[in-house]
Amino acid sequence: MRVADISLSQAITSQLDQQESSIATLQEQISSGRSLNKPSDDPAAVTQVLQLSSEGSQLTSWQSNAQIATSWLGMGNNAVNSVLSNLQSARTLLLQALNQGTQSSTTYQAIAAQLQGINANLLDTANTQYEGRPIFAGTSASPQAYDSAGNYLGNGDSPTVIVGPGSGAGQAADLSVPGPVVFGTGGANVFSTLSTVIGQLNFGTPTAAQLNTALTALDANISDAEQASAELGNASDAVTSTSAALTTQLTAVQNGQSSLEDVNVATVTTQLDSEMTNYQAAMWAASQAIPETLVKFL
Amino acid sequence: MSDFGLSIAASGLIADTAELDTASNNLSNINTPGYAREVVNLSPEDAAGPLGVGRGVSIGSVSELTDAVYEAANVAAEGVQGAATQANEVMTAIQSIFPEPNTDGLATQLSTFWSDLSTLASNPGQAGAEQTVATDAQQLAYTLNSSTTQLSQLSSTLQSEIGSGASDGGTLAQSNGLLQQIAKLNQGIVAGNAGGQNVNSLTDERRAAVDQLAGLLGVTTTTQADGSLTVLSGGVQLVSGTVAATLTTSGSAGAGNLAVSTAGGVALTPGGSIGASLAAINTTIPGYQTQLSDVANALAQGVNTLQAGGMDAAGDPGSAIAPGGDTGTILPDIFVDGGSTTTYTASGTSAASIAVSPAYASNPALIATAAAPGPGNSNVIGTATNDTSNVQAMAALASSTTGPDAVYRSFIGGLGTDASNASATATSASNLATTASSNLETISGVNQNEEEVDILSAQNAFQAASQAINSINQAFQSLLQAV
Repeated sequence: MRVADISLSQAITSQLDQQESSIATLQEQISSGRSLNKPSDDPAAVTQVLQLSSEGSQLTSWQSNAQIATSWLGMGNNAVNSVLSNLQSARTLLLQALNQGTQSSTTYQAIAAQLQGINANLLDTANTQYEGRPIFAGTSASPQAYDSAGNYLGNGDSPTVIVGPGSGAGQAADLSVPGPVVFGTGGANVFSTLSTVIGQLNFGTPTAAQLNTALTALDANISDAEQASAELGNASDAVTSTSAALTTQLTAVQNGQSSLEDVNVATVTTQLDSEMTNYQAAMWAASQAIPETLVKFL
Repeated sequence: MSDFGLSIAASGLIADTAELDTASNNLSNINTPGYAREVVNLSPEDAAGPLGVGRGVSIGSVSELTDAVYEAANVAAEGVQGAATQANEVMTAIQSIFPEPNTDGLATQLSTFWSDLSTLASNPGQAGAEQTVATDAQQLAYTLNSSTTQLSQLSSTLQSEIGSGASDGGTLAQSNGLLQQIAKLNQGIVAGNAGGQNVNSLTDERRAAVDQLAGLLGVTTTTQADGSLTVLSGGVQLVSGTVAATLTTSGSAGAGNLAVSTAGGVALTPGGSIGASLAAINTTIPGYQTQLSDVANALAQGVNTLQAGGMDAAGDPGSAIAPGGDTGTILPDIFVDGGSTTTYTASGTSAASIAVSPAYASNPALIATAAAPGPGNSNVIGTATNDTSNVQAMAALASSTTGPDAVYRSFIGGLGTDASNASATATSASNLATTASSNLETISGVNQNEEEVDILSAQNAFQAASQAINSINQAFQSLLQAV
């Protein structure tokens, strides 16, 4: 078959062009460290990477929410433990007042003063704040959970964060419990129990019936606080295990993303090597073929 | 009557000179576009005289070597290559506007928006967190605006590349020039053929013009009996005999209705690079802009609906739950569009006009973090709250199957597939064109060795004929001395 010289040079040019373009692609992959640099590099993989990176971002948000929940719950647990120990001290004092028979009003007033101190501690604890927010005020925007008289200022909703997928906004985790869950509701709350008995003790002559009523009320308060402690403890455990699960998922998502997106340097370098060899061979062949004409031998 | 063979040898010299000239001409045009190799057609002069000896050689013609089938295939391949190359260039330009996966891309910006909403959900009413969310929203609107603007700019660039058809340096003006040139060459060829002249160089020139035109418009040609070439594109006759059509454009890139027609008003569906540009301007780019607007719509409607149905940390209600006659603050929509400062209307051009409402931008606290009052909560309109269930729902739009992320992902997937197809088509069209051209070159192309062999044999023949003249000359002289 006849071959026109122009066809030969066109074929050589187009061949070299195509090789150069694959070398440029491989070169870009190696220097950027990424095998996906534009959507057409692998449309399915690019879509998948976008999906994974969006999931990864959500998992990161959930994980930071889980950490916030852990902090809140830890603070809540400490607060409730301190409430329990204060309540136990108050109970001991009440039993003292009850068991030692009739005592002088000074003695009662001394007990009252101690109980007053415990009440103040409890109020402080009840107004514990996390980054400026009272943790026992529910979702209320009130700056305090309890006023100085021990009246609850918050509401009955637990504040929450989202820590995972789920219906609606996702799987919610409680950050805390509303104050009444720890301190009792309305007239039966700790502050009301204590201020009633403090008043009676200060008056000087509390009756055994009054002290027994106070003791019963206090026992109910202790039982509430113990229950709240268990509730917070369970919530804390749940968040810890959720957080661990999120870490596992995040690692999986990041691995998936990097396996799609990152260049396998060994593979690409080998490819580049073999492309370069072909390219050099093609150039050598061209350098041999182009100058050869009959003229040279005449 | 005889001149002792001098005229016979002379005819050989003339024929050999013609061979040398033709071979030299072929070699000179070895790289000339459209040039078809020429050969000298020789025939023996009729025998005469008593012995019936031949009277030398005569030059019949100098003809071009070409093949109609290969030529047609080459013109068609030029058109396909022109279109595929241009379409690939357009897709490459579009892709560079959306360089995903990328840490600056829209997908990342959406993720940032959702995770900052999630941060706000942990810190309700905190000014810094509120401001971050508002800034994210503005960035999203800006990216959607600028991406769609870049697409529009690409479209205008393509339009100005085509031009109006008047002498503005556009590809359409170039096409008109080529059409005129082909018509003029037709005229010369028809006249030359009628007068029995050699029109090879005119047909070479015409072939080059047709090749170039094929790349621009995608044409088919038929050669008429008189040697003139009829040129058609998209079924419309552009050159017939010595008459060339003048092409103009109507419509605009902005309106997505740019069209090419003849001055007589016959609309054209061209191929080639102009056809590919028209397809990009009228179909591809507006299609992507609509898809980008779908992303904007999913974002704005998702966020605005939640905004309208919730209340902010101060207890201000969204527009959907505000009691009639409420004279206090009512939450503005987060996203607005279409030039409105208060409402968002979903449309196919929303990506160009989506914006953050000025009322919200100037006061980022007006975001509905809390749920509407309901059985599941203690919220009350007008009372401040740290409830964050509504902003949690906003952050959850991240994984909504109809949310902006999902819509954007499918847009990028489609774009990537289109671009990778365009690139594959361009490669195969280029291979096809190379094959078509090398097929044609096997007939029409010049091979240097072949011409050199021709030159050598013509040279040898020339020397032999000269020798014959010399011998006859000596014979004459001996005869004259003998007299």
